[in-house]
Amino acid sequence: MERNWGLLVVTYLMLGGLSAGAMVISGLATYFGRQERYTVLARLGAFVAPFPVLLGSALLVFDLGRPLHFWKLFFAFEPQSPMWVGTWLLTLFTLVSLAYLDLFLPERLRLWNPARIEVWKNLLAAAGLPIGLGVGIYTGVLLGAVPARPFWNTPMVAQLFLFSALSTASALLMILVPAFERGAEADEGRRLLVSADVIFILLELLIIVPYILHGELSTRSARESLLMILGGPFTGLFWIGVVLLGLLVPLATEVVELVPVLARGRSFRPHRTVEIAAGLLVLIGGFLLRYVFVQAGQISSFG
Amino acid sequence: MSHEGRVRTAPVERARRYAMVIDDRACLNCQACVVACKAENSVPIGSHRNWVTEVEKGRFPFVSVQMEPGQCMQCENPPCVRVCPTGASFIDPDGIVLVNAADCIGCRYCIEACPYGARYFHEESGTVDKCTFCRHRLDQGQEPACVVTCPTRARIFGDADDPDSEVARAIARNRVEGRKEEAGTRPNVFYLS
Repeated sequence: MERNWGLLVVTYLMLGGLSAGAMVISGLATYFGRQERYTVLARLGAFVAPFPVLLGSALLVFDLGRPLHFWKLFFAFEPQSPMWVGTWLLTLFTLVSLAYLDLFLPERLRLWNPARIEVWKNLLAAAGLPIGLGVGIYTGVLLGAVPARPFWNTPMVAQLFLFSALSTASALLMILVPAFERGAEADEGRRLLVSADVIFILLELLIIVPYILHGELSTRSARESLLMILGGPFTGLFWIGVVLLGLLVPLATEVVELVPVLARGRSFRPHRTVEIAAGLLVLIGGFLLRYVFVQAGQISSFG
Repeated sequence: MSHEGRVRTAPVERARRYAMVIDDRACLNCQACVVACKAENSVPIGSHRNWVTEVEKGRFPFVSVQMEPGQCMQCENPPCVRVCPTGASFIDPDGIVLVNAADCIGCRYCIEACPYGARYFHEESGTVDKCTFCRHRLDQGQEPACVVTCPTRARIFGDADDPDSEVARAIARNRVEGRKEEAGTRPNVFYLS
């Protein structure tokens, strides 16, 4: 059944998160330095960052009742509306990430060629990283700021969406790295992504647990809204799709991949099949997470 | 985009504070108010600006059925207005929560924000619509369609800031309560408790 907010919004939340995560990872890699294992990630993240959100924004506009009037968002001043704040965040993000991408292009393709390019990369990474975190959090704040929907109305939704954004972006880059970069340094970059994803997935799990505990100990409407995933219509999708296949299985495979490195000090040997399988599961799980939250949240009601 | 008379929260100085008192014990669930509203405001099929819910209480043989008419509560502190990204949703100087269709882009965020489920998406116009307390009728000195049509006179309507009005007296003389007041909405539709 199509609700007020449907698949277009779900897809946008996913794409916005991917862009945000790619920008944050690329920005961090740029901060960490010039070693090739970092620049591999900085470069690929920069190439990925602007595009999902561009597509996602287009979907959002298309989802409006009057798409041709979307410009009214930019001629209003409504700072108490999360959507208005988000509109400007997305706009700023898109501009910064495009400028950042430009600096990673080969010189002949660059639109803008500043004299001290590495300094500009650092500056745009410094701007893009917090804006990326902002976009990643915003997707959750949009839902969380609505007291009428107890399933959403906790700051933990914003954290969960942020960590999921970082995890799905790691997964996407994990899948993409070998297509563009080879060699020992690229393998090191892949190890960093797998390690980062382990942390992001753990953070997600460590938000889901208190999210449920908090809801169970909260008001009646919050407790009742949790029934959506505790016996209600989204139970299977959440526990099997999101938690088991989207978080636990990729977490386990990633940990298994890392064990020889951590326990025996061996150099990281990325296993392509595992990488792709775990990455795809994370991406599908991230989509299902947003689907469950958007749909279940709309059914939950206050009082 | 601001437009004349638009205010974010209830204004300090305002013309009126339109309010409604509903005596749900008088409601028979005849749906006359629902039909009158639909006809008056050309509400599309499948959408409603008002409704009546029926709740069964107790266990046999001690049972009762309680009717409760619902609609937009015309909140003093409306969450729908707060989340609107273009300022299309606003409170007019008479305390009525309205949508300026010219500024509404149809993002439907307000529909999610309303704890009462009082707003709906108008497919044809691509904008969000809701109860206006029949603003157009008020301008002609008439009461809202649901009020005049109610055969049991379950609804009392008027300016709550005018101490001589019937609605102000109903609020003053009875124990009245708003619905979901714990949401901090400060509704202007009251129920006799």
